Amino acid sequence: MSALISIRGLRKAYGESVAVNGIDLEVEGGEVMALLGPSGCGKTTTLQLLAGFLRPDAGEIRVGERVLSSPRSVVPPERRQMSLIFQSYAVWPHKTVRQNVAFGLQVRRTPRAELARQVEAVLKTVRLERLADRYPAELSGGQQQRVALARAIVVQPQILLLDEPLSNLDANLREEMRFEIRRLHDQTGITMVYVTHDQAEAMVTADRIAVMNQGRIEQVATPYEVYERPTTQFVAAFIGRTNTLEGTLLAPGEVATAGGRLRAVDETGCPPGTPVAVCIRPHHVQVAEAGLAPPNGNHFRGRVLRSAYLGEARDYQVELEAGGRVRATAPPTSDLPVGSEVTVQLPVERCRVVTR
Amino acid sequence: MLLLAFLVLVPLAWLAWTSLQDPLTGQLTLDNYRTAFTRRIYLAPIANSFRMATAVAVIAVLVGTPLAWLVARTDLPGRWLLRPLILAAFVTPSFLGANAWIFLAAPNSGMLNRAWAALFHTEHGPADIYSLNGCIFVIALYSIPYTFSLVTATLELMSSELEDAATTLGSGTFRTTWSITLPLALPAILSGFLLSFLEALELFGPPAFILIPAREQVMTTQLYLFFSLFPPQIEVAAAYAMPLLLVTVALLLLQRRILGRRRFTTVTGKGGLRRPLRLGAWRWPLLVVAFVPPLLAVVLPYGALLLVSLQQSWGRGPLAPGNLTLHWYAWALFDNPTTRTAILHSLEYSAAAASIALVLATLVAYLVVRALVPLARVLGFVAMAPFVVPGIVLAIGFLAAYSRPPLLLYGTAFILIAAYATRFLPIAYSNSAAILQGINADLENAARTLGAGRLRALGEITVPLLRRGLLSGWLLVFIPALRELSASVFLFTPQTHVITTVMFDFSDAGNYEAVSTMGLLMMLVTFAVVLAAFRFLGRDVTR
Amino acid sequence: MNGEMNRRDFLRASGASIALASVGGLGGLVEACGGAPASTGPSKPVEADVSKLYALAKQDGSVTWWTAHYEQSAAETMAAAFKKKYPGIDVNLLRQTAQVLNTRLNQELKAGATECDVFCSTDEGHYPPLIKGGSLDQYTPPDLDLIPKDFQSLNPDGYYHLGAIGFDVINFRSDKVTTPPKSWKDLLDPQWSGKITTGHPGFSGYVGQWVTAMLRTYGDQYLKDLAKNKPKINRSVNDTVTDILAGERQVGSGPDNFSLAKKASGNPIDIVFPSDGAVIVPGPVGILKASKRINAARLFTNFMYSKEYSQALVSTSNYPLRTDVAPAPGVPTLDKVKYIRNTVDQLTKDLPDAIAKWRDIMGV
Repeated sequence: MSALISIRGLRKAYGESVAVNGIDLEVEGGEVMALLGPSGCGKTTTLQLLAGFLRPDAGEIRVGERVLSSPRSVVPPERRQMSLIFQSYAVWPHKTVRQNVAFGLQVRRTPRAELARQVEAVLKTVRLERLADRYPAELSGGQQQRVALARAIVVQPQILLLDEPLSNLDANLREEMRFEIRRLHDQTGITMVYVTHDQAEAMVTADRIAVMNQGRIEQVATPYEVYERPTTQFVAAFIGRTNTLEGTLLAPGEVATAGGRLRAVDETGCPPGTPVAVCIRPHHVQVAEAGLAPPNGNHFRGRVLRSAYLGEARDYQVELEAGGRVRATAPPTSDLPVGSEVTVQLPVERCRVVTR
Repeated sequence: MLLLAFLVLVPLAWLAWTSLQDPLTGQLTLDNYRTAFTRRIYLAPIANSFRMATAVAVIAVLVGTPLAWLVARTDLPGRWLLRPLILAAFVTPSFLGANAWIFLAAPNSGMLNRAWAALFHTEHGPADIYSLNGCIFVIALYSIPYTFSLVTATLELMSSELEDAATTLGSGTFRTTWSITLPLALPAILSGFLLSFLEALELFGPPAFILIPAREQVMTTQLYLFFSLFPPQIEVAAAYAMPLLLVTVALLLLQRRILGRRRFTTVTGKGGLRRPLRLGAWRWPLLVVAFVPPLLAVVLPYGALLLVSLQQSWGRGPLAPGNLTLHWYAWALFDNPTTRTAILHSLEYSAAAASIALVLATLVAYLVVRALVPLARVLGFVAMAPFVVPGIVLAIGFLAAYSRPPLLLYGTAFILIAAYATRFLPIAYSNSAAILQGINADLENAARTLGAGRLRALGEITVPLLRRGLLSGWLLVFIPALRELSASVFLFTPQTHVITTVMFDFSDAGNYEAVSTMGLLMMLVTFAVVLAAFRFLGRDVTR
Repeated sequence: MNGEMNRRDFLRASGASIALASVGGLGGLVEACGGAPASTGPSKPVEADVSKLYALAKQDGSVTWWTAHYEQSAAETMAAAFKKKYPGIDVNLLRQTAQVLNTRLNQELKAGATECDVFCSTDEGHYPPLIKGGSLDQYTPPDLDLIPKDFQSLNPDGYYHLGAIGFDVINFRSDKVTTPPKSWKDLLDPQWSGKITTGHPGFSGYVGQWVTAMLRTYGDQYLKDLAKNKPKINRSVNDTVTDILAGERQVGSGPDNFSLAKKASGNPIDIVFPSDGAVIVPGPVGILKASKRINAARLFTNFMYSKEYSQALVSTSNYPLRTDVAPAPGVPTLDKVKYIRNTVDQLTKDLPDAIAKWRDIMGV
């Protein structure tokens, strides 16, 4: 199945507060697109707009050639061929697992034999075939989640929407379900739009991630890109851990910060004078005893404030002489005492200029 | 929503219009309001009415809520019996209850007082039903079922997990109940308070029997006086009745404000078992306490009624020779065609009214709770408005509005059915809204994403979940309709007699034996219906 | 008459004597046979030939009778008596309190049509508006001559006539009270403190009449002294009977017919016609002009003056209209009753005051 979801200029406000503030997004057929962001960033509202439960104030949502949502009209959810997995699962308590799953097919008037066959098949896929006649109240959270999944995909929707589907599960189950969902996708090839606030989840399940903040999309890219090459400060901070040093762009690749001049990789294309920040991941920061000659590039003097041994690594927090703090992840063998003078080096090719 | 307009707005509009009319010239004037609200003898009843209504509502909620919790969420022994007993209180017309309590607690002749005097060798017993407190007591007894019903409906939909969460944090049973369970049932409790309050404001029966000898007037007896003047001061009465409408609006706004921001969704489709709470050592004391209200509302009064109904002439006492007899039962069931037909009529009309009201109320509640149309809230107000208009006044409104072609309903059963449906629409609406608020919209939305239209989602998903609550809603209209009097008395004709009009006639004529007999027969009939309804409905779907 | 009467405006009935009528005050046609049982001797006045009316009425087939005069089963007895005398004509009976009937009638008339053919309220004040609105049939039943002359012209133009007679008297518990009060004045005696029961003039026409009469006869002091005796105040005048039978109170100002009905079924209650005057309460009957069954209506109204009707009245403990039918044993005939009658003027002027005074003095 191939579908192209096209969202342009989408906007939705509730009275004074604007939930979705002008969003453009394209989802390729067959891909898993994650909408990632903190609570209140507008991701759930976007999903609701996609599903047809809300009417946009501006912009449009298109699937293939069809315009599904616009300020003038909205195709109702029941005619959009999009299944939705709710955060609360919304598994119907008064129907058995089988009845829950069969519902969509019944609406489509699938003949009985065919219906039974499809239901069995999908139950096998989610490994619930032995619990088919139980009621949801008798199932665990994870099992209910799978019922919701089965119910949603048995109707072979064009698009599957998922609204924080795993946030109510415990950590182990969550990990297992992440892979399960990915596996399901790979098996069926359904286009998925997946809303989450959990960055790890997005990284594992998605083909591409749209990072959202305050109603806007900050960056849309693959997990690799979003991690290695964030374009804004928000994205850099939100994905993985990072150090952020704020400053002003002097020239492409050169930033004036409080601690001095930094050179960094610059793909922003911003003019000099733009307020920017320089980001570098802690595990790229190099810390060494003061006095050792630095190779070249950005280096500062500082003092170790904290040192934590994590087994897999050592985590330092260093106070820079010029002001500011930096976190560094060093190999476990490193053992610089707290309070010692050190040199901090930020390799230029690991530093990135991001917009603020 | 044409039906809503037809049932509610037209009579109410007529009411408002009339309140502004000069009785002689028909011109618009504020004189009626001046008359109604500047004379002291008219103001004292207003104060009495509100005092009484407040007391009744507080008692009803304070008693009804714990009872509901005991029945719905604990393992109290005998709760299977408690529920029908409380329903029996519901069935009883309050004027019948008032009369029964007069049999029991009149200062000189009351059975309880006489028993006390005989036992303790005193001149009189301690109770005097002829007082404002006596009236409050009687009305409250028969008002408890509202809160009870609403709160049990909500509690039954709640999963235990919510309480478990509190327990794991160290909260004991009662603290959990206080901080978690009850607040989640807040919409139902508030609705119960509102219903009891408004009903107490508009009742005529108990005040007529109890308060006049107590030398106290309330608004409804005062309204009756307006109507019984000649020529009847309908215009002043309409003006006098307007504040009652305003009070409803104010209370509803207040209810909205209190419930506004918080979320009461407890049925979320995450399943979750409902486990009854174990009471342990508290079971037996609580059992005793729990059975006190039904004892007072049902056992004692119906005992008194039974005693009276079995006597040829109750003033002579059961020990007088030849006085014990089944004569009245034979008379009511076999000899007297009017009483038989009246019973049938009551059942038919009430059932029809309940069905209409339920469908309408649920649709409106759905629109309001899901905020589907702009100004949905206004619809909500309209649905609640009729409750506060005294039955007499609503009846007059109906009479006037629907006695002309093209809507000539007067003289038919339909006007009675319409009047009942309108009068009790607010209860059905409160009930439906309270329950709908507890059901997560996601459950319907899930069905919609799977291709079901809104109506189908409503029917296949929401309604089955509401089933038990909807049944309560149906009964909440059916039963008050059965026992309704003040509107019936204006709208019936000899062809459309109902049980209550027949009973009231008997009481007016001083034939209390017949009243008691009819009252007992009515209770039996209603009980049969209710039991049948519950059996038909079957098990609890949220298991 | 039973049921509730409300405040009334009595029409000026020019023939109505303002009477503390005493024995022999009624002249004319009526034969005063005090205490003699009902008889069928040839010396009774011959009833008018209504066979033509009957024939027409049979074509109507039925008559709808709305009455507040009696309680349900008594009214049914009257209806049955009519059907027995005039087979082939059905009676659709609606028995309600006067106010309810009146309101309903007026609403139906406003809407253009009413089911009612014969309208019997206990409140004469309901009729003038009906007359003014042209709703009433102007018809004098031929047998009207057979009732006491004093009551023959309730309305001089013949729009309505006398339909019932009732009294407000002293009722009491016969097995516990050996020396009942003999007059209204006696009720003020302190021995009756806490033992008296009454209705409320605002709710009950009987009581309204009684209070008006007392105020006129004895002045405000009567009510004040009565209040000192702490009477139990109810809504309807029939409640006094209930109170007495239940043992809640011992004596009361109550209705003659209901008290006697209870006595007839073996209950320990009896009445006294007060020596200072029982308060008489006449109840009118009117025919609706637009009635589709007007002949049946006229026949029925005429029937009220028949002997059978008065006999039926007595059998249900009501007061007969015909003087050749004796009232219940122990009850005096009309010529032997000392009664107080409130005239139109007195009621119009005094009744609202009476109610206001009652509310002030009694507190409700």
